[in-house]
Amino acid sequence: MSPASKEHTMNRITTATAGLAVAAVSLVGLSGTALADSSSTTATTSTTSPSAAPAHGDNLAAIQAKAAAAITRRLSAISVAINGINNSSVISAGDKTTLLATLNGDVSGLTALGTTIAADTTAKQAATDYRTIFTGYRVFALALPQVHFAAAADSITGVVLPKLTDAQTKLAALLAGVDSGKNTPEVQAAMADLATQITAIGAATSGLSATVLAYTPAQYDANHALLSPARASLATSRNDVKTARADITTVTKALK
Amino acid sequence: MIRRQAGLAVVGVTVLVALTTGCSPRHTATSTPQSGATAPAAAVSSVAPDTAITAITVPSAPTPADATPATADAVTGPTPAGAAGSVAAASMLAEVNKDLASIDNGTSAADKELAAGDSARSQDDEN
Repeated sequence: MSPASKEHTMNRITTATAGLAVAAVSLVGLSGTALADSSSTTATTSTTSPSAAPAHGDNLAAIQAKAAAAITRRLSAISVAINGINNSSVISAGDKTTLLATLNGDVSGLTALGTTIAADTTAKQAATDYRTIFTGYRVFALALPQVHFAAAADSITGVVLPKLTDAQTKLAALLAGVDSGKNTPEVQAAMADLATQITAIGAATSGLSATVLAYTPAQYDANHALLSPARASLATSRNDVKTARADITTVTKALK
Repeated sequence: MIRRQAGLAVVGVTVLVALTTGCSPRHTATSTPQSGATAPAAAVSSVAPDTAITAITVPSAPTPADATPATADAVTGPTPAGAAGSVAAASMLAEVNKDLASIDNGTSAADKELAAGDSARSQDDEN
């Protein structure tokens, strides 16, 4: 795990710990609301607008209800993501460790935050805590995209790129040997472009998942376009893979 | 008559040896990729000295989790000429097609992840 990731995780865990401490001394409130709602995620998600900010003038109970729904929705999404990470065959072991630490920290933190909000005694305090559901975790804006973008990057770097390189090597061997007579200018151009694409894909995706996983909610809060460069790199690489694949097809057709 | 039969036998053995050595790099590499790397080179070079294969290893299974297939699949020399070379070339093309299938699988997985990431980002999380 990178230092940045560790810091990220520690920040979230620290928040979670603080939330738990507050919850521990707040023995009253609606602490059961969020957890109880977690068993009916679909209904909650489809019938409410959990992430809507409390309306001006909302009373304490209304804010607490919205908070419970928002937290439940996020915990449910995180649970699905954790399951997906554990079952993923493309996410690297290191990235799995980082992602699971982050998401499990989010689960702890959000659960504790729900308890805190349920125990709040004023609408003002509840509204302030409510905002932390978003600003402190950024589950949909950051955490879940981190999971998916890291997986996409790992799929390219761990599966696609090695296979492109393998095909390139084999085709080069064929063109240098038994199929040297078929090494036409068109084939040579395709092989040259294949090399270009492989280099570009490697450059664009090298270290990309680590970069994505190092982002924190605080960084996102300061820059909502935080993920855009990584997303753009993945899109570019995806197109490069398509081009490289076409190059390989061009050569293999010529060799048949 | 005996001399003629002996001559035919020599030719037959020569052809058999040539065919066997011509095919041996792949078979040897299949079972022992590491230790078999040098033996096939010598065998192939006896058929086509100018186009000796120094090492051919069989690609690992194209599973999505395979993180290091390219390095394991090193082909460091050109394919040999002749019938043996044609067999090796056909086999190598088949492996390239397997690579393409793995590339498609990996690309499809990446596409799904990108779509899922975009979907998450599109949800309201802007308080």
